[in-house]
Amino acid sequence: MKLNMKAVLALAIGFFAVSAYAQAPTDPQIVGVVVAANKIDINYAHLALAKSHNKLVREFARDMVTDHTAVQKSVFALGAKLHVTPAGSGISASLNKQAAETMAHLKTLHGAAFDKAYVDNEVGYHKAVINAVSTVLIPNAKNAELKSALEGAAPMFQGHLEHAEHIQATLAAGDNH
Amino acid sequence: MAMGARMSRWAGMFVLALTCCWGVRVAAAGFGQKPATQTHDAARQTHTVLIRGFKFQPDSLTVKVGDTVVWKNADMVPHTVTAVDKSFDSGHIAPGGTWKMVAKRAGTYMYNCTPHPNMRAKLIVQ
Repeated sequence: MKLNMKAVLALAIGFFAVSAYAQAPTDPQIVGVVVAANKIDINYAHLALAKSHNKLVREFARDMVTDHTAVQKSVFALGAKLHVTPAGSGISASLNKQAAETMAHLKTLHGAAFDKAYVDNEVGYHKAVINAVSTVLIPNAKNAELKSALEGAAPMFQGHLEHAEHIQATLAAGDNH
Repeated sequence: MAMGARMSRWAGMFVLALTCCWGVRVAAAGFGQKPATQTHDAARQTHTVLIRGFKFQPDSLTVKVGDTVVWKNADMVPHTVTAVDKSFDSGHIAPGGTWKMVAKRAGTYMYNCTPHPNMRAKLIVQ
């Protein structure tokens, strides 16, 4: 099962890299990807809040809901201001497909196994998102304000990654809360 | 023009009122004294650290024992001011919110934001 999860993450990261060369996303598609990515992480977090009893994992999940909900609001506000309606794309479709598979897998797990799988997935997911933002979304954003907003959000994703990695190390050390 | 001048006067009074209230709050929280001891309190300064763009600005601040430090969150998500040695922790500071602390003990304190550990800064208390 561990290999499967890693394979899914590798696919996600690889997809973003390949898609950069395959077809450049338009601004509406870029906004659509950000909306999809936010929604996916909020859904993961809600699942963690429903299933986990670990204090660190629950606090992290709450932070993910708060932060990604705030970003989602600002994305919709920016989209409205710029008259950009989020549009679907191969990237967002792939993201949603992979997320559905990951969610289905996470739902089968319980206790420490769930906590580990959720946090491992958060580490991989945020790496994939950071990669996508820096190599696909920012370089292809045409609107300067959209580009600037993506650049402004990048440190948040990096922060989430470091937070997830910290919890991953704590869980690995057997320091359960 | 007259309207502009009136508004400007009102704005000035508003800022003055705010400043007075702020002074009272800081004095009350930091020293448990009334603002009557203004001369004594005047030596103690209030410093502000702005949290913006997922950064503490400035990321290194030197204050004196007894000074007050105010952190103001100008980002769209909550942040914390959490000492690495756990000697202080703001808890979540809401967007637009502030948190303040009176520097009581000399030392160098490394701190970060719990939800975003890549936000690191230093408080030096002399």
